[in-house]
Amino acid sequence: MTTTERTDIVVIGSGFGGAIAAYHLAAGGAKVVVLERGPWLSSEEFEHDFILGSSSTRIFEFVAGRGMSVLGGNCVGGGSVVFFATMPRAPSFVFERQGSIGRRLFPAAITRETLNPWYDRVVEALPVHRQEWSEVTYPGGLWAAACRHAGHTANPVPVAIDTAMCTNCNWMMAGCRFDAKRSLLMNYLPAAISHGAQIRPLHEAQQLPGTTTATTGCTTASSTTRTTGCRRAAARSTRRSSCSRPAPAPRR
Amino acid sequence: MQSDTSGGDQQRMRTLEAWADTFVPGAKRWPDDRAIAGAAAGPGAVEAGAVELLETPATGVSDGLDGLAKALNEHAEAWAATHGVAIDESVPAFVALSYANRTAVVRMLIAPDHPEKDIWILVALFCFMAFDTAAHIHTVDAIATGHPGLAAMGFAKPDADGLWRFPDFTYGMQLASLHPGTTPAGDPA
Repeated sequence: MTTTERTDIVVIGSGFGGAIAAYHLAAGGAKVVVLERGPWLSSEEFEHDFILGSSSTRIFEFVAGRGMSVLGGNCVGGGSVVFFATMPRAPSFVFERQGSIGRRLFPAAITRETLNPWYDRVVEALPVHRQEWSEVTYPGGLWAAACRHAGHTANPVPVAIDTAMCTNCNWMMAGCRFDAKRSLLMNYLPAAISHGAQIRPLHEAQQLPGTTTATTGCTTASSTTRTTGCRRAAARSTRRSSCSRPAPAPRR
Repeated sequence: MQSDTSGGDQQRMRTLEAWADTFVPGAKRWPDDRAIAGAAAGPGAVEAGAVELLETPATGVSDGLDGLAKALNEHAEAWAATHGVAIDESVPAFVALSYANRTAVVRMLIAPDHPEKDIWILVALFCFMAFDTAAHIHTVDAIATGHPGLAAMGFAKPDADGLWRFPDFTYGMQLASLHPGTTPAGDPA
């Protein structure tokens, strides 16, 4: 079934890119609709199970590519639900790297210094936790020891994890069963919802038609002039006919 | 125990078993086991459930297995003819090959310039997945029934509620010096 609706803002995708924009726009008073292609799972639906059809496959999209296969988040919360919640700040030298023609790869305005206030905001919003050595896992400790033996330093990586709630289950890629991972399901998305944003799971943007005439809710525009403010967007979304994965296979 | 399936089903199954066994080889299940080449001790991908996983609809390849088995045997026949290898026609061509020759056919099919490379790599991937994750059955059941791949990796048993928790997870000590430019937030500057 296809329906036509109107809203102020349509956000496509509910991961890091979409959720944060959705929150700020909703908090600023806009009517926001977030379209998310994947399903919306609650904590108790995050399973410790490798079987095809369990959460570890439902919240992922797997693309078998030529030379490289890609796993990406495909659920409300996007990659934040399936990632390992490591939140390091990129070191300063990263931003100074040059490409093959000797030009700086990042725009001149982007440096670690200019990003630090934004890193600070993320640290506060998720929030991000600075790990002590007593919280570093065995693999992390092994890596640190290997670095030391090779003459290098190693820092415990800051994480978006409530370590008091974490059980070290090792199923982070299946979504956090224990609400310890501070994914966008725990912060920006509920904040956006509290400001009236609608999250629509299993909705995929299939077409973004260009407009030949600009329409606006606040000014009258000529047929050749686009207005930049107060534009209202017509969103067309098509509900997916099925979940991203078939039902689990029967037990053997 | 040998399967009682017959005819084309059996041909397909033995072909897929031989394919899976080429990636994660195992010991023969019975003395005249033809599908498993016996290139390694202990159970391999076949006994880990590779064919069951390939036949799971969620893989997206289950509907095409007839064609895949047929194509694989045609490739095996062509390879054998090219290399002067005699084929025992009482079994599918790929099954008739030795482990070394099966490996040579696989190497040809997954070579960067082979036009069918993508599909053969995808089908190979599920054979590894069967051994590494037992993705055709619930993980708690796989562990309870001694799934060979998970057992080989020492996959721990879950708690009574079927969830994993590791209260012992850290060396609990500083194992390297921090970067000298570490900021108050913990990151290198």
